[in-house]
Amino acid sequence: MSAQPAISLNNVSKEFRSSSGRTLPVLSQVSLDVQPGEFLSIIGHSGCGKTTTLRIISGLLRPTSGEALVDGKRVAKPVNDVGIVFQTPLLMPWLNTLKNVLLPIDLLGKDPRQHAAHARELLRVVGLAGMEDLYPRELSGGMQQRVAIARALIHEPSILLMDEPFGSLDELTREEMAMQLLEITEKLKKTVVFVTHSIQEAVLLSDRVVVLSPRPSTVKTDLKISLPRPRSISLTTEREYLQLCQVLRASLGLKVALPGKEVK
Amino acid sequence: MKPADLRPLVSLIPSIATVLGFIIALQLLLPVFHVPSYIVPLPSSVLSLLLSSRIPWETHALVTLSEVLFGFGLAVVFGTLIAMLITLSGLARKVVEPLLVAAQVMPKLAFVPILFLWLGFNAVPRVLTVFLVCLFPIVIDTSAGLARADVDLLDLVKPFTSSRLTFLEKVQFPMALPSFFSGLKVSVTLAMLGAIVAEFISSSQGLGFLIISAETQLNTTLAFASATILVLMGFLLYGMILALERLAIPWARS
Repeated sequence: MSAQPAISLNNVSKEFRSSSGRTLPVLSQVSLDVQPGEFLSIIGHSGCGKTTTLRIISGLLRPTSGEALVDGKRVAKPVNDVGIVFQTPLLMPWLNTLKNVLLPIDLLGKDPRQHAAHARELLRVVGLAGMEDLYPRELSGGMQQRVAIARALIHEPSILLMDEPFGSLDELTREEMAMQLLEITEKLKKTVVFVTHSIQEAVLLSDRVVVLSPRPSTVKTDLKISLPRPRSISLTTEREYLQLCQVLRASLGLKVALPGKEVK
Repeated sequence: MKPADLRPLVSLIPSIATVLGFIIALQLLLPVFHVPSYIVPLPSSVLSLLLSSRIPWETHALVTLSEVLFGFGLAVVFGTLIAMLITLSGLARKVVEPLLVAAQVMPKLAFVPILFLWLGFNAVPRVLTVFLVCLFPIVIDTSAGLARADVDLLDLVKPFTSSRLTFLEKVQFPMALPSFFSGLKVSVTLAMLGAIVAEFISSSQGLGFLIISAETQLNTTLAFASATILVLMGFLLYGMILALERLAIPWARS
């Protein structure tokens, strides 16, 4: 492993203050390193602070205590060395696909025309070649989220943060998108932090899966997924894959069923 | 013209037919029931008055139209600025919003005579009346539109720029356009009302002046003829805003 992690969380705690004035501890002493090029999934029950963790890494949220480091530098404000894919596509309805992808460039005050070729290339990578001129309302939910992925990559961040990016998609689209993300990340070699509710998705995509405990969350399980790459959907029928899924199910407090074998 | 361009006109046929049918029925039935022309004038006499050169229609129509356009234009400029201000600053919202609501619930039209007292018996109070009735819907709809760009979108933008103005320009403005146009549509109809009421109070020209002086002389035909021009003018203004909306936000068309 390389000397300097791409992302470090050191004893990060976060409390929110509710409207009635009570403090609500969400994260408690979370420490986590993500190595460059690693695909890490964070999984846990609803409201356990997965999104909060991502927001702290991206600098959109300040931890109550502890610190987040990206490339060894302390995160004090929103950083643009990360690309973020949100739960919803958040596309601008007045911009076509190409211009939506180029929005970060525009916001950075650079000339979008100089990055148009790169944007087209990214759209090809996410499977939307030829759709540059379409508007968001002309795209399906899955296509919109692909545009959002291309947009998150346009400023060439070394880190990609994904907050349940497939959460609002139907089951079929979801699987298709997961397979495509697998291809993209294996090709682009980004450091990825992927928040999900889906155990199968997490195991299929990740090098490592972290399970967060219910609130106030700590790292409950840190599981290495040493399945060979490149991976494909056929992996999901293999014994090792299934076992890893069961380990995660157990860690999340779900019923575990594996014929003839008790996993605890 | 392509056939597709005719479709909006074709869709107007039922309403035009209804209005025409109503006018023809009036023309045929009024003489049967011996309705005097000071109660309801014959459509044909309204039409012939409209076509005659006895009344300088263009002059009167232009006076009212310019009051409407000036007042409405000022309301668009200031309304948008106020909406921006209360979007950018919580303090400004706290200061401006109660004032705005107070100004809206106050019976402005009843206070038009006082505006004339304050500002003199000229066009200024008339334009101001139009401005005042137009302002509220523009501010409310535009600020609601600006608020549609929510926290999530701010999160999307924050890593790339800390400039609040960039967010306003690149995200909030375009996002607000559909609401902005709804505000304009409400306002422009109110603008006509404001101009007419102000002309009722004090004027020597304009369609409102024509109507109020026709009524004092029981010249119902003249009142109806003037009202007809007002309706046509309203259609024109509303239609222009619709056209502008189609040009400005083709992406919002459903």
